[in-house]
Amino acid sequence: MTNPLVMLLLLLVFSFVLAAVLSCYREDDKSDILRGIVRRAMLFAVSVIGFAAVAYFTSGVVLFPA
Amino acid sequence: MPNTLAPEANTREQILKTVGFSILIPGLGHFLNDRRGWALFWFASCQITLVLGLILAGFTQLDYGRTFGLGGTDLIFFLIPEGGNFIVIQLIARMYDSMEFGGDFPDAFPLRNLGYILSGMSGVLAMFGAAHAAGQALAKGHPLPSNLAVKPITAGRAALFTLLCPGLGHWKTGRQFKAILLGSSILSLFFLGMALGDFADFNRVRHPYYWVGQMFMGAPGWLTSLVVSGRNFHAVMPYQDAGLLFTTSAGFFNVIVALDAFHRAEHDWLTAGAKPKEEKA
Repeated sequence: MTNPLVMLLLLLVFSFVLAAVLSCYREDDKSDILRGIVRRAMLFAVSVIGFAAVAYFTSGVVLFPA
Repeated sequence: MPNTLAPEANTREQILKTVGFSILIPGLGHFLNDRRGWALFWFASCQITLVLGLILAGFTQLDYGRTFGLGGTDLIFFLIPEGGNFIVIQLIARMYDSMEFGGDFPDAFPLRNLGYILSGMSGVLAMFGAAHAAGQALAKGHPLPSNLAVKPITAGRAALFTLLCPGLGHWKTGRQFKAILLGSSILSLFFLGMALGDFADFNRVRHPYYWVGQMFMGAPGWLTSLVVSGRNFHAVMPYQDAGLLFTTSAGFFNVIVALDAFHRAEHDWLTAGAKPKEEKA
């Protein structure tokens, strides 16, 4: 059984690496890269959490109604 | 006003041809750019690793490929990453069959993993060899001034260094911050993924699709796979899917890093005063 907190931590790790690679691809300046990492990592992580929340509630309400 | 930070049209055309020929037969792109020594090196290294890998694994790599063609013909044999060495894998796929007989004898090839790594290396090396040849074509079309004190490395060499270790290509172009950030991030993601899969998730037999991405990790990935060769899952681990995702993503991220290293090195080459050959004459 997976732990939601561990899954969140893994999501944050993946988001950071994804954001680092994208920011380094787009920018060449250290300060631009650092700013880009924070913005892109947050955007990706929040998007995934949003999708997860929608899936969770859709599953509970629409697919398996009480 | 032409864009001075992009190669001239003739050179771009030459680079495109070079990459195409290098994928068809590794070394051919170098040969067409009068780099005979490099041509021999790339041809020999890609073919030796491919053939040796196929022999060690009993040609079972062919089980992971598919044929495509019009009207039921077997025009193209599609197998990645070995397909980077295009013509030779097409010939071999038509001349030999897998010796495993549909998986009846899974223990028949004790060095199967080494064989898979070697043949996979052949395809990945062929792709990066094409990048190296593209860098040589750029250097030929836009030679540097002879009086330059510090010469930048060629774009293809920067991409190749990334295959040795993520971030090394950026380090060689003088971008230490990016090198450390990219190298530590990608290696951490890869080894965290391996740990989540109990170091058993770099396995072509079990995860052939994930394995393709993992192969693009380059030397650190290949060596890790050889070290943990023979490990198997003994239970369903809670985060093994995340482990597979992480290791495969790390490989694909490494390709993006190599592209960036190539692009930055090309930019450095052109800003260092490299002029089109026609203008120099």
